[in-house]
Amino acid sequence: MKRLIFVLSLILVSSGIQSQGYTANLDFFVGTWKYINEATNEEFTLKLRKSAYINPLDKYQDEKACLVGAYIYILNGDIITDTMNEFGSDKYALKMPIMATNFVRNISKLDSQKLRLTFNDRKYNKNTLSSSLEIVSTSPAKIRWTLTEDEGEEVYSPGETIKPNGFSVPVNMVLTKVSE
Amino acid sequence: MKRFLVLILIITSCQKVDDEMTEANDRKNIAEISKAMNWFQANVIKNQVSNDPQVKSNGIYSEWDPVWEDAITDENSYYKVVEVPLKFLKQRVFLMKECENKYLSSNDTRYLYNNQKLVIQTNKRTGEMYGFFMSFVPSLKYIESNTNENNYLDKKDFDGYLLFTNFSGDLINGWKYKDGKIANKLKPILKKNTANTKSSEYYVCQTTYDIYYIVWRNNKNNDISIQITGIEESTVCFELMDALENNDGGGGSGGEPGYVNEIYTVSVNQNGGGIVDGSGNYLVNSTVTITATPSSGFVFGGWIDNTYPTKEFICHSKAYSFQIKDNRSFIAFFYSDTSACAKLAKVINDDSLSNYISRLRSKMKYSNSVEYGDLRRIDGSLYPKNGQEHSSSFVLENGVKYTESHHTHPSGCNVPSGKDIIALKKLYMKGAMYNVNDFKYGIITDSSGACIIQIENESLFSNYIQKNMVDEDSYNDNYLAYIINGEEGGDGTKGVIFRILNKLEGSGLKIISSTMFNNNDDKRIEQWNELTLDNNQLYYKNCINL
Repeated sequence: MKRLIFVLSLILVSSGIQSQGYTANLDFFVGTWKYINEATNEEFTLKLRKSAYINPLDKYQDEKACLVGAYIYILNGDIITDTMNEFGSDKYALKMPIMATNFVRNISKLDSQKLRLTFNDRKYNKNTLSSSLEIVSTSPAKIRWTLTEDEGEEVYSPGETIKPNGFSVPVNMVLTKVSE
Repeated sequence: MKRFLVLILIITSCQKVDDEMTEANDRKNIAEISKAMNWFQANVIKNQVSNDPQVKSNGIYSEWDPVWEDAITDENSYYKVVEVPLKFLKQRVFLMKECENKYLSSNDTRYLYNNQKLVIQTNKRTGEMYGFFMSFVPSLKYIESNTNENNYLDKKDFDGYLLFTNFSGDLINGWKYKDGKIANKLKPILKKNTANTKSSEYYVCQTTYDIYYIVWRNNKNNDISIQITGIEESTVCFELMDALENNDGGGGSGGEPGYVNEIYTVSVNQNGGGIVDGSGNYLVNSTVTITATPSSGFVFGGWIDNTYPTKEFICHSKAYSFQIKDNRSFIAFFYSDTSACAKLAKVINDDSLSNYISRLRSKMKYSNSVEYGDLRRIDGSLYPKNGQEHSSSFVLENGVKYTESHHTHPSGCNVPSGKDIIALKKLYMKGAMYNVNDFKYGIITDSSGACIIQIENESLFSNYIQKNMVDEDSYNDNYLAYIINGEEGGDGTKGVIFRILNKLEGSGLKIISSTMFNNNDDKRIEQWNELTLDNNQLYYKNCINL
């Protein structure tokens, strides 16, 4: 199995070469993923598809392969956040509810098992890029979701709504693929 | 004309011949003592006869031996010293008049006491070795109140005369001590009539003040035979000189090598842009203050200790005081008011920075993702509430201006995030900065140092934020994606800093950082660097080139 993953990784690396960069295993993440915790009566669903983006800060201004997606979080039967209506949106990748990639320009730095995750918390109106999606196993297909708050000072004007601490969804969970 | 007043007294005494040394092990460097012993055996001919007729006639130091097992060692920056007690069959004792009187009226041999040692010193730089005798000639007050623990490099509270002689017994020089401090340098004068031509204010050879006693000691039973010599024949006069005066044969830093160095030189220099004060000669253990005053248009950066072999930053205060024990050399650094280093010096020299760092670090716990921070109002008070969790997120107060803002990055990331640049923009746009050019925005980590962002060019910064921060969320996303999350691929701190500086090029912002995490080191200007890019190369610009 490990050999299969390795070969698969090589194929994906080869196919993921961009004009000036590399990605790996993005296809593995494509699909619908689910986290169910009966004890806490939580259900989190994540849906990912392939996409590309251009970072305006990058001097190369080339397209980088990535995943974009949406999520829905239900707690005790109540929908806490539902962004699934944005799944098919063509908005800029970093503005999507979910964006993830392991794009690098130096292949020696490529982490084929872990994606950098950009999460836009629609309920709390905040985002984080200091997060990750990481392969736990390929059969069954499982990934670990980890959210971390970005660092930095936040200054609000008087009267401006203050964003809550933390996130409206679980910050650490293992998701299982339920469909491609 | 010799008129010896000879008095032979046989005194049975349990008093020990010399000080009993109860020094700690760290005062017993066996290798140094062994080296001194070898040097002594190879170079010193015991019981030499002095060329001084006065000395020769008395046979001074004619019968003595070092007690090597009781030797102690000491050192300063320049010398290693081995101090060896002596046992005598015949000992020349110098007495102050007051002690002589006390002895004559009491017959108490305590007042005939001199602590005499053999001293062998090694010049640390040249390896050259010298030897001489040292005599502590105590005052009455000192005899009656002291335990005689003084040694060559540490005179403590000695009161009396400290005299140095060569192995022939010739007096070379000496020092007059008062309560542990040098009062005068003593220059021996052998011709009595010279002394008489001067005011007594300048001499200590008052005809009866200094008397030779010759003491025969029997080391087997500690019996002491004392011969007191006549005044006229035994008078040794010393010229009382200014203690800081250098003179031929007077000892000290400018005197004959091999004799005690009681004067140390302070050399104060600068790199231009101010006035420095404090150079000169100082008595050992005295308190020296050196001062730096920047000229108009310059800022003082700090003091560098340039004393060989040291070369390090010591202090950012304009006045620096220390107790002198060696020759010292300092350099004051001044910077042109408009230079980057001047701004850096202003930031580092401000105590509030180290206070901030110390205070915020105390709030941080390892692996704790909670950020702490606050703003400082003009009146010095902090906002929001000190120590509040998540206090790096706050609402500006209406109409209030702030002088600085600092917060923690618990991940240890010692660089500004996109949120930080946006926060800086908000503080600026809302007019919350009391003085834009001096406003400090700091990021503090637990173990990876700290960094300060300053607006170096307000006009550039204003243009930058208008061009780049129209959509704040996008800026943050892109900034993080590009810089922190490393699209370039996890190339470490240098890569991150490189991308930050690339991104902030033309922003009018300056980043200075310290990789040190010790709170004291955060105040050392040489630990801080301005981060710059030049021709696509990353530079850590330091303002003190050690």
